[in-house]
Amino acid sequence: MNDGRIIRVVIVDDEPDIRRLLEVQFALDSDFEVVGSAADGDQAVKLVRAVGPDAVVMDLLMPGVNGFQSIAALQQEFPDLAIVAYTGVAGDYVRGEMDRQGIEVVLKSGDLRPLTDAIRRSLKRDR
Amino acid sequence: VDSRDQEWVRQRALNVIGHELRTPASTVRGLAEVLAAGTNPDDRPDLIDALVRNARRLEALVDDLLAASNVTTALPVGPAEPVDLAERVRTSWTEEGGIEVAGSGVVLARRVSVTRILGAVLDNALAYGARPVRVTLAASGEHVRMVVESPGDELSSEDVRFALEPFWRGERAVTTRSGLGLGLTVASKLAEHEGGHLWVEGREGGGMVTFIELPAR
Repeated sequence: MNDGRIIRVVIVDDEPDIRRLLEVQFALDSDFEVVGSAADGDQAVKLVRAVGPDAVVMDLLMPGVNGFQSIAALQQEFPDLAIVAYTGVAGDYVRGEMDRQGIEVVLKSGDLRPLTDAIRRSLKRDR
Repeated sequence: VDSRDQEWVRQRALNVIGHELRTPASTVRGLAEVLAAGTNPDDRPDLIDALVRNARRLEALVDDLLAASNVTTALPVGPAEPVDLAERVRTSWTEEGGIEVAGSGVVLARRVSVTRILGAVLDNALAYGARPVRVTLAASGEHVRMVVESPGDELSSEDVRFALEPFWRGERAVTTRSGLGLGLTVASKLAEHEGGHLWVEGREGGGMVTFIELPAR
């Protein structure tokens, strides 16, 4: 848990339906609040600067600035920010790269629980 | 593709298919569960629309996979006819759309094949490269050769070697766009079906060149 406080989350995904789904799923969990959504990595960095979330759920494959680039930029500017990579498929390259950056990877699923568990673990690590 | 590459290419193909199926599949499950749990009634029409959209997307992906596995039995039939390539390109892809055409050539082929080949090659060039895409047409023996140059990042040697493999997606495409990686595979089968040939090379200075040869009228 985040010291009993509501965990403020930013969602980054180029698929509008995934963003919408995550918003309504997080709305059903009183421990979390979605404070913003972005469609690419560049918007994500601007949004994090503006709203200062506790955690970011980051898709990796996006047009423009992709998730890999955005995670690197966010880690440099916000070292305490919890980031979880949320992706359709994670092959050896993705797992290796995320492992190197200390980012937990969660495969996209209709179930929110693996994602909320990963966010909580990332918050603990970053505190 | 030699045998030592086959396993690697197969792995990449399965990754592409997995990624393309997982996103709509998990969206359908998530939306159905949210609706069953009883969400805000004002959200319901919106969420049901998204549910239907993603179920349709899944269905379309399955159709594409079946078409890819069956590409040789789905080849167009009927008589070949003269098709003016420059006119076809200008009609469907205007220069405002980022394509410049030089030269001319009339081929003898099934119109539906030509349309699908041009669609796959030009859409691919526009999606993955910078502008303008240059199309040059010229006679080459008994064929018309169409050269499509799309400037962009330098292609990896794997991207050149495996460009025509089913489910192969270039490095840049994999990190930025969704898609099954079937366009050039199907286009090359269609070119062969019409008595021609299609191949891909890296472009000097970066990007990609696609060559299409079809029988001249």
